[in-house]
Amino acid sequence: MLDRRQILVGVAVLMGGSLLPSTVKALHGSEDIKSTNPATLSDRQLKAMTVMADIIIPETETAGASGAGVPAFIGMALNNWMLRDEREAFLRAFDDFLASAPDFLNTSPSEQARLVGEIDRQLHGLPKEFRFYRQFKELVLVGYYTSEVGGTEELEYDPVPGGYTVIKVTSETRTWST
Amino acid sequence: MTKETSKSMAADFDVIVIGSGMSGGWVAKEMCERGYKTAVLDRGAPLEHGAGYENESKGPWEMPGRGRVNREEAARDYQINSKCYAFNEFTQKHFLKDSDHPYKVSPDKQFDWIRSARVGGKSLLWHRHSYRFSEMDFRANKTDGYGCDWPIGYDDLKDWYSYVERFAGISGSSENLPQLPDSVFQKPFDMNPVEIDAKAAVEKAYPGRKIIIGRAAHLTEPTDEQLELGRGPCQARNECQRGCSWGGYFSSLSATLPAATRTGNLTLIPNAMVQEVVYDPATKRASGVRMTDMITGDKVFISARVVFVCASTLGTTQILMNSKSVAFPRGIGNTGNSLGHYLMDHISGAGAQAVVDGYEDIYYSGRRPTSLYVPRFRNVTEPTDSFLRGYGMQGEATRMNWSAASGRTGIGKDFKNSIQKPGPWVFRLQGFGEMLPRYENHVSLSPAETDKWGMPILNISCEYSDNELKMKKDMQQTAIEMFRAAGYTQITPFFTDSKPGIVIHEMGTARMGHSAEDSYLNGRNQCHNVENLFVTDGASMASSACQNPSLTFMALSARAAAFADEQLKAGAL
Repeated sequence: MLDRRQILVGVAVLMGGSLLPSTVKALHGSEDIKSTNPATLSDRQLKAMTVMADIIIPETETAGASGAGVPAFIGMALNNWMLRDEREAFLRAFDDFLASAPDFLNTSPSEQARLVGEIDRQLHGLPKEFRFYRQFKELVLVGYYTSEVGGTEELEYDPVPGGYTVIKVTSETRTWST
Repeated sequence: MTKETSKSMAADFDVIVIGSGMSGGWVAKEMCERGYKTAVLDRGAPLEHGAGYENESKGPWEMPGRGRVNREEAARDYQINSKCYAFNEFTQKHFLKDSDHPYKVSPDKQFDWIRSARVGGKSLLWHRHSYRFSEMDFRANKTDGYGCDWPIGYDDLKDWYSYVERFAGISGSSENLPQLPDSVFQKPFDMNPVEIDAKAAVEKAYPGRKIIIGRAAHLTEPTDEQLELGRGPCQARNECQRGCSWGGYFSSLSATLPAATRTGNLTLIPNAMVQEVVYDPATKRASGVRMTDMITGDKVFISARVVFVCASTLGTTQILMNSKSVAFPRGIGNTGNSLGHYLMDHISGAGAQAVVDGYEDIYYSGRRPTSLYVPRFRNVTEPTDSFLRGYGMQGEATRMNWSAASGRTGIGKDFKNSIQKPGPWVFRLQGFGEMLPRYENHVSLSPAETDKWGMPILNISCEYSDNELKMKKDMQQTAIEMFRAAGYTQITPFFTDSKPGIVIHEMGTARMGHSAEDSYLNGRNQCHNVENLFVTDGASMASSACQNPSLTFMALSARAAAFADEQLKAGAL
């Protein structure tokens, strides 16, 4: 959907911006581009991310985040979309969160949802221990809506539209995923 | 690396064309159709139209990186090309590895040189907006004194525009605007209701400003000629740079090269890095080209009666400057002071966006591959004292989708359901301005450094002047004005710190003009000093206008090829 001219200025401006590092950003800094130390998520990190991802995008008539493979996507994105220092910073921030909520994985689903909701309400002014969350939420959404489930079942996908036409919105209308 | 041979492949051709992109493809077609044995040499790897488009129509879930190139790889191998709007995991292999083809810039003067890695060149990767230049554009240099007077005017090119438009296929609407002459059109893409209402409101408030549908090289009513070449109507996927096996948009691969191939006169040589046009002092003509086979490293000389250099603006000038001889120690045919100078791009990166209330019951199907266009009004219908020349604008109204949702609060089922519904309408407008031709903006060959094939690398020294920066500020202001006129209240202006090159409309450095002293080419794209040497790509431009320039490159190429044919038939070449 995005046209070159939109991308030139960045779709992010309107809504406050993507926090995932862009390809372009890598080019200006002095980041280490030779890193060969891809991260692997610890069991605890993976479990906590899975729980939180499913709270953000739960199963409805369509699969939720974990059903759409979002946890594996996050592993891929950490290794492929980030440079080592960015990846390490993100995982450090996530570990800080886990340290601030040591019982997160053992507590009840409703308590887990309550905590995620509380963090989410602070999205535009996250305290230090929750600073991982903005980037995490974006990873969850990108991972979900670029998955086959998210892209074709939850949203609408048309690989070959055949033309551009104006249509009426009905109760059945879903957003195009691409 | 290697011996120099004159192998059988290199026997005689009537015509050599260096580069198979927008310009080279046209020269190849025109010369092949006129019966000339034509060799097209391209640095790019071969790419088969259709079968070679390996990521066409794939969803992001079918790509290992979900559409993004591995970041370390991008930073290492595609340091510049990864800045291009079209660079992604689907299109990666169509872009040049910067790491293999280095260039340098002057301190504090960034230039983002975006380059193709495939046969077909940037015609595969372009944005397809297609606009004629007007008489005002061809007279601009003479009027304000920047750059040299164009040796041609609109009337010289008018019929050639029509000729290339009929073959390429341009969708658009006739508007009868003197600053943006109408093309031969196929039917335009639709504007949506938000855009139609904005057009009415803006044109009422500002009678000198028009909002029209973008004119784009997409087939909406393919002709018999286009269908015969295997092309079909645009499918509104807007994933063009991956390649389009429908041939829905114009590229060398979909259109000009197939037309050249079916004559039986075309020899297409990929992986061929031409490093030099060879000058023969006895005949005072170009005798052929010296190239390196990028796979084997072999150096080969190929001879021809006529040489067309269409290697992309800076690629062309790099080759010309490297074509040194006793007669022309500063590059073949170069006796003046213009070769390498007067480099231009356009300036962009400023405008505004607005959230549009209402229209919630309206959506669209299909990904329209073009946008709106606001033809130049500055110093046309609305004069200004603050800068010379002007700009056009592109933009469109779309509904927001999931990609904006991560900036919003919300979790769970309600959040998920809200993303399932189309988001608010957002309207964007962004300017594209003319860059003055200035001597200081120039390129030169590195005296010491070469790439791994032995070609001296290019040093680029280019920056925007005050005139362009003032124009850029004005783009932002007029976009805001138009959104206010449309009744929008949530307006966010933008102004990014863009550098030349990134608009990918680089032009100049081997310009047309009246004399060898201050230009490289005459009014036929023919080198003043070497009569069988032609340059028809962006390097030949004496000014940049503000329109997307590819259509003009096509028209100049077809016109120069017809001229070369006449000269050959008359025995003059």
